[in-house]
Amino acid sequence: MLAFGMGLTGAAFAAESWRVDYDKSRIGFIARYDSIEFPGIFERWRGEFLFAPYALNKSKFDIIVDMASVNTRSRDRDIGIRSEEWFDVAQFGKASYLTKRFERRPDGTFEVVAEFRIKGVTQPLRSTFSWADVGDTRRLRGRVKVDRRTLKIGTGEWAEDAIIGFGVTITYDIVMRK
Amino acid sequence: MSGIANRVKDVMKFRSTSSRWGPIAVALHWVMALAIIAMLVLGVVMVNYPMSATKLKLFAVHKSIGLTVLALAWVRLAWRCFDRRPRWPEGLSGAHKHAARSAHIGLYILMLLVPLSGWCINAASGFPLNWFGLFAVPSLLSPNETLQAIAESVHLTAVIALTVVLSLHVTGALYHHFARRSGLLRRMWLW
Repeated sequence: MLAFGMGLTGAAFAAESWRVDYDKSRIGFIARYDSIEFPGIFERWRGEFLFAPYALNKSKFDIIVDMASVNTRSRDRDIGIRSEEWFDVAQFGKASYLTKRFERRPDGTFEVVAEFRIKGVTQPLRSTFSWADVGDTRRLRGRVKVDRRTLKIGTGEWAEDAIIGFGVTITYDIVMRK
Repeated sequence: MSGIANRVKDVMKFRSTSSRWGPIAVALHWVMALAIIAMLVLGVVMVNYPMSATKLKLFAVHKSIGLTVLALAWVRLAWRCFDRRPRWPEGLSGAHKHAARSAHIGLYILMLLVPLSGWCINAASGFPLNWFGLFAVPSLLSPNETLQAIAESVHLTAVIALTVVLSLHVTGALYHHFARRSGLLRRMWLW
C-alpha cells in the first residue's frame, strides 16, 4: 500500500497527535463461517495514534478493545462469540494492540510491529498500512491475518474444526482530525 | 419443428396415466418424502444438540436439504400443472376424495412455506447460507431480530402442520391400500 502524506511540513517531522474520530473509525475482523466470509466490528475501543513518516521512533498505534462490544450483525452469533470457548469476555474483557516499532519498507510503505494481547495470549503482529492526509483529516487503514488457533480463539472441538475458518483478518480503518 | 415435436412426444411418455402416476411424479414424490422426513428428524436433533462445530454442521446440512426441497417443490408444482391425474380408485367416497385433495394442497403449501420461512430465519439472524458448500445463496432479508422471531414462529408452526398433514396423508394411503384393498399405493410405487 502506498503512503502519501501531502500535509507534512518541517514542523510535522515530530509525531503529531491527531484526535480519533470514533464515529467514522472502525476496528474489526473478517472471519469465515461455513466457507462464507462475514465481518465483525468492535463498538467500544480506544486508541492513540501518532504517526509521522520522518519520526517513526515517536510514532505509535496503541489500541485497547472491549471484547464484549463485538458485533457481527447476528445476535445469536455474537452471544456465541462472547462465550468461554471463543472470546471468553467474562474472564478476558479487553484485548490490546501496543506498538513496538515502525519500519519503512523498500517500496516506501510502512509496517508496524505490535504486541497483540488477547485472551491471555500475547503474540507479535506485523502489518502494513496505508495512510492519507486530506485537509485536516488523516486516515489509516490496515489489515493483518492471524490464525485463531494460536490465540486460543475457538477451543475444544472448535480448535480442530474449520467450519469457523482458522484464518481471521483483523482490519482497522482509523479516521483522525487535527 | 419435427425436433421439437419429438421432444414433446418424449416428455409425454413420462406423464401419468389414468391408472398410475408417471415416473417423474413418482420420483419427485419419493425423493421429497425421504428429504422431508430426514429434515423433520434432523431439525429435532440439531436444535437440541449442544452448541458445537457438529451442531453447526447439522444446521448446514439441514439448510442445504431445505433449499433442495424448496427447489424440488417448484419443479413438482410445475410438473403437476403439465401432468394429468390418475383416476380415483374405485369405491373412494366423496369425503375421502375431498380429504385427500385437501391434504395434497396443504402439503404443497407447506413444502414451500417451511423452507421459505427457514430461509428467512437464516437471513434475519445474520448467518450466511450456501448449498452444500458449493455456492453461496443470497439472503432474503437483512439481519433483524424482530423478523427473526416472526420467521421462527412461522417455521415452527408450519413444521407442526406439515407433520400433522403428512401423518394424515400416510395414514390415509396405508388405510386405503391395506384395509380397503384399493391398490392405492401401486399407483405411486416405484415399479
